[in-house]
Amino acid sequence: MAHRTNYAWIFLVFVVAATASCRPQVTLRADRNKIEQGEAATLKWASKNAKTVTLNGETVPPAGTKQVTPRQTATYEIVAKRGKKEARDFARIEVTIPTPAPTLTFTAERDRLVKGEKTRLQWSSTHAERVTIDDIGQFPAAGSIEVSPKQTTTYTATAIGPSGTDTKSTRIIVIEPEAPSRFGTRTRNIASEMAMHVKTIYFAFDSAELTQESKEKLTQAALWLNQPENKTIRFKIEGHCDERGSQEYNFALGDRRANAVREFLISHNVSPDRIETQSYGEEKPVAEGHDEESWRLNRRAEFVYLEGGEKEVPLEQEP
Amino acid sequence: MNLRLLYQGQRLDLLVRFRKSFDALFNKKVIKYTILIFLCCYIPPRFETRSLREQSLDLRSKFRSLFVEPEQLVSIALPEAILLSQESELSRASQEIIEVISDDIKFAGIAKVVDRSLYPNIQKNSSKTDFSLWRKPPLSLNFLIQLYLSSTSQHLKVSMQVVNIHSEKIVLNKSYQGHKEKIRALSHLIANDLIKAIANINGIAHSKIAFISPPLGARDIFQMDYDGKNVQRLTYEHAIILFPTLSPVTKKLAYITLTQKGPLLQIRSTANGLLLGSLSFPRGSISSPSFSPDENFITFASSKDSHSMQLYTINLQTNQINQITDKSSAIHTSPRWNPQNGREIAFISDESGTPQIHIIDVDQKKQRRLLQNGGSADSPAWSPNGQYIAFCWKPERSPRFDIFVMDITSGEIVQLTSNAGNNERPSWSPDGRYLAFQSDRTGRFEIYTMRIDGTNQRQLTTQGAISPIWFE
Repeated sequence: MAHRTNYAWIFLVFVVAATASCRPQVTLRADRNKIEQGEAATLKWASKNAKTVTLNGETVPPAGTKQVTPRQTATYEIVAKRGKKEARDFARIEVTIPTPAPTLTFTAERDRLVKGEKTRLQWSSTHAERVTIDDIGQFPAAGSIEVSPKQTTTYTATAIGPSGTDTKSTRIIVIEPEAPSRFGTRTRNIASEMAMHVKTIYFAFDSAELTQESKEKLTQAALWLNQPENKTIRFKIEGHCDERGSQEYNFALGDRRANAVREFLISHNVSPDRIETQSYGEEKPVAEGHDEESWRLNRRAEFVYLEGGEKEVPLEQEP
Repeated sequence: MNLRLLYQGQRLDLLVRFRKSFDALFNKKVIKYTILIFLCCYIPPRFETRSLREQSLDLRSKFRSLFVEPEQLVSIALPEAILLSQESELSRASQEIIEVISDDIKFAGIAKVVDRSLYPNIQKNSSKTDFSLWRKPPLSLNFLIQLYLSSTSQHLKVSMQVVNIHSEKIVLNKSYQGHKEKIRALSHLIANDLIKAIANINGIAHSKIAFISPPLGARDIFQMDYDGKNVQRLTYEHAIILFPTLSPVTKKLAYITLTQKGPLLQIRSTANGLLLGSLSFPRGSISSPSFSPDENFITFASSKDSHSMQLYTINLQTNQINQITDKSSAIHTSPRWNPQNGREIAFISDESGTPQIHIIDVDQKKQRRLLQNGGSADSPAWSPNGQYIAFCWKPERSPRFDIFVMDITSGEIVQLTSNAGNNERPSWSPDGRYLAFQSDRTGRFEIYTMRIDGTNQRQLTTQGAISPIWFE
């Protein structure tokens, strides 16, 4: 009995000693070692022979997982302790910070110009590689350019960066210069001047004949068109009809009305090269009504200024 | 004496009586000379002096005879299709097919579909049809049309049996197959065969009508089935489009677009919209294209050489342009090629003061005026057989345009529309029994169809549309 007891004790002591002498072991892994800011990674650890396990100082179960969302690159340390013996492992999660979307500021030095003046478009941007301005070109991320728009223009710029674009617009209002822009000369608005001197011609029903009144109007118009400063004006005569005829005949009638006016002007020395004609038939009424007065207004030949004419003329002497 | 009474039988009778009294009185000198003077003043009634109403009665009844009188319509029964497989979609298809066929038959005006409340009760699974059941009064049927439906994954199979109820003979037994998405097109085909079988008429249920929509401003050309369904877009211009026309055989589309630089004639494939050709002139307008029957030429109106529009033809192979009319004092427009002889062109000229219909021989340049009655006429449209011209006309003192048809040989005219807004731009159906036209009777132009006797006018569009072209 004594022998057996002894063996049992020796065995027990041996097991206890063996167990006590074991060093603790621990492993720590992250499922992703590189994340973007805001993303999550999962830490997974396992230990052996450990009495206490701490992850970054916080006591955790011997094995487990934990989701972390580090703001920046972080190293996680796990420590497994058994008495004075301990084991450590590390996991490093690298956090990349994404480039933010670009931002753009885009302004004009002056947003109101008199025609012919210049101004600067200025821009700066963050997180952009380059800036494009519609209809002008491509530029560095910050800069400026001189422009002189002929009419009111909206400029649109787009900043282009690795993670997106930003678009801004700026509008430059261009106003016509005051009449006497230079000493002794006057800048003309030719289209509106032409509208004053070359007036719409009206016709009788189903007719392309020029009335006496129309002929007088057109004689005046030809005089104006043949003035030296107007000699290069090119224009279009549009023929129109009222709604009463059939569509197909009206298209031909509108054509004939425009041509009747053209012939008259040619016979009064207006060069044929300066005149275009187009019929719109009954497609473009000026008066929408279905009565005599609307029909009368719609049977017409209209003049449209195309191009040419002296833009600046000597100032007239006050009488 | 009312000279207009002197007609046919009446005229003979009167002449005989006239002769008797004449003989009796002629021996007296005074009376003799009086009568001679009177005779010199007597102008025999000419054809033209017949009033329009009288003329149109003859032509109208001729047109009416193209259609069966309502009481003489053939009676048919069109019961539910027998479904060879049990699927819910098949019974829906059956309903749609029967609806479309019934509409087509009604439109063709050759038969009436007897209301199904009068149909006998028939055991669904009886294999042989007992025709005696279909002969019982009050049914007085001529034909029984039985449809059989089955389907595969994508296709629908339809068999049609047309049985003459009295002789119990099968008049037609035919099978069809079509895509499930295109049940209407398949039904129109079946309807055409059915119409051919029971009335020996070529149906037009498969035909289509092209049109421009909307009526004003930027617009495009579309097509629809002849019943107004299944609208499809043909062009993507979004501009002012005018005067579309289709070539008679290959169905090329020609039309005018008003661009910044002036009017442009374009020819496009109807199938894929591909641009096949275009024509415009640096100076002068272009208008109203129309294909020759062999499609080698297009006739059009243009003011390229004078200050009012003249007619031209262009050879589509050589691009050679020939001038047809040269009276620069008058407007010439709306040329339409005779579909039968390819030699004549009907057109509009205002040589007489107002726009009137004329016909010109392309080679000999000989022209004649067709309409003698004043007012304004436009949109001449030859019937497919070249016998009639439909046109719109605003007679003197009339506030509106109406559709008329003229028999070219006799000069007879019949008025088809009246008291319903303006009615313009007639276009013949392929079988020459119907006309499509535009009318603003609702306040806006829409497309309508009618029989050429002026009856059965029906509105096809509701969103505003003009310039119908009926084609196969």
